Amino acid sequence: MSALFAVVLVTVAGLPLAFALTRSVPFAALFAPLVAALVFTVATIAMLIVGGPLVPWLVAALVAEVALAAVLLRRGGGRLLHGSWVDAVWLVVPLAVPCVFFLAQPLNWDAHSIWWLHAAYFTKGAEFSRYTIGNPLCHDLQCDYPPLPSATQAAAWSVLSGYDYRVAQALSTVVTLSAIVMLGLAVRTVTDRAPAIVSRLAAVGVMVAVWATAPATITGGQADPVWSAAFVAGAVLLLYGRDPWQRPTLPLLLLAVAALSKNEGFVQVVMFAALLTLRERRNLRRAWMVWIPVAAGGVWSALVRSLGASTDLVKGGHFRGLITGDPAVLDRIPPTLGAMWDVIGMITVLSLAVALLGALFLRGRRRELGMGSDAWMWLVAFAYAGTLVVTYAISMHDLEWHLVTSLGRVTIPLVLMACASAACWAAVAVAGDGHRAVGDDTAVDDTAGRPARAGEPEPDHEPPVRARS
Amino acid sequence: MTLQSLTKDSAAGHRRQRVRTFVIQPLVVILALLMFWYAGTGAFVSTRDGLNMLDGTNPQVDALRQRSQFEQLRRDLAAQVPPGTRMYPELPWDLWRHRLIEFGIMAGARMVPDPGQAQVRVKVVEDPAAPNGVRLVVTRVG
Repeated sequence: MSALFAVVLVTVAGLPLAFALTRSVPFAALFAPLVAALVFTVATIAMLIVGGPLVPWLVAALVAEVALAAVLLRRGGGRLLHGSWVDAVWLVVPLAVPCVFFLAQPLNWDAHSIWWLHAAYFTKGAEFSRYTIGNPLCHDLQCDYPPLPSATQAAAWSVLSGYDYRVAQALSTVVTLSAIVMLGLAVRTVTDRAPAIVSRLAAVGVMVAVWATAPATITGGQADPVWSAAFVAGAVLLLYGRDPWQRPTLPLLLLAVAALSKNEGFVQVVMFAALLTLRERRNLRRAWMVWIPVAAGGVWSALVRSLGASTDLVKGGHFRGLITGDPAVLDRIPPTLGAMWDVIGMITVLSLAVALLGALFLRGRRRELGMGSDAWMWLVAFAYAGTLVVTYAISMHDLEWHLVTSLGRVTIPLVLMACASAACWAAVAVAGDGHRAVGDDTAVDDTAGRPARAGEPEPDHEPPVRARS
Repeated sequence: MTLQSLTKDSAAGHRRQRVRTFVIQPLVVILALLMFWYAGTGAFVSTRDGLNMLDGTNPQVDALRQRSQFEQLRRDLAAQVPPGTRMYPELPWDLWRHRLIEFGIMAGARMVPDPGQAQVRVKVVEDPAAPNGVRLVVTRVG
């Protein structure tokens, strides 16, 4: 019961900004847990920098969120193009089925040893948290990891009495599902010139793929699914979207979630920002904004370094061995590639085949549909795969143990990028030469429940309005 | 450009269009569906395992026991180690050392890396007579 209460509390906390960004009641409710996690993360970082207990900072962050939401609402503007109840039901129902695994006991190793432990010391205030983050005894507990996956639990545990693991598990699950729904919405948005049924099925396919390689992590309290889904959602909107810089707030928020959820997420957002800057080199006036999420992750990274936190890679990694060609390091690469092949080989090959066929034969049609090039997504994916190989090569841990305990979950972003690529090519293939106009099925103002009036601008005359920036 | 070459070009274009419509587009869709089928197996496994818990096929006996151990040890530690106490977890890097740090932090104890700085040393021992088969041992040293 307290888990349900905590979920309601967190949803209500994120609702003002989520509504201001989406202007859609169902999607505001679905986006709210992720927004709340971001708001609580800001509170946690402010607490660590300035000092004091957590609760006043939570209150201050919530007040700031409401004020920001009020400003955004007053500025008026875009409702989600695909923010209807029908789309919400399409995206939520398929997710509810595999979530039945939530019944498993809250015993996930990383959830306890990393995320809920961090949440516990955040509840004790700034001084205690700083002491623990810098404590050499706690270095193996990844105190340098970003705070977003723990911030929601810390907020709930600060308000509700006790350290209820079911509350922690439930909050982690809803924040993750919130990110997954935004991933589905991103795919739905960029494929909206395909028939609605195809676009929705493409979105569902990509969302369900979050479970592909590490199904227990989604409801188990781990951070990999949330950063992966948020990152790929942001990347899909910015790389595939029609004029994404028209409304950049939502993708940038999603990238900030990724950068503030895990070190891998931060590294990936940095690489993405570099590649996107290269792609948008003639549009730097607007593309510079992609460095805002990088700055958010950078603030956290600098903060924990200043408090004395260390990562196992920095502390005991063999990066020098990689540079000098140490056989002990290089010999770890072939088994790493072999293990990656076992986990994601088939998905990658099928998706690459789809992407190659699409690039050879359907590129023109993709351009007609206003969908951005797929090559950049694959560059991002290969860059991330490269960092994984390097990480396993220089890791201080026994390779077999390291691969078995982590490869399934750290490859989730690769699966999602591959699936997003294939979903978009499939939508291009099905769209037909006389493709439909954008939003044929959504030319209904779901908040007012009326059909679009004659003479009103057709939605396809506007860029896909996702959020008011 | 002769009428003949124009007709030839048009025929070639028509052929390309037909290949695209009847071969490439279906192939792209089929390969994408196959990929989604592979990617969807994880969700299937999650659903199946969850339903097994729901209908009692998997009663989670061991998991329930471990959770009871966690809850009991956390309560015991909070009762015996006051907030602010300097605590050293006296175990190798294994499950219980991780859990003791977690429970200690939840109790507000300050973890110390050196046992010489500790006010209490804490460990977990197996005890068949204890309610969940494990017992917390708190030794005051300072």
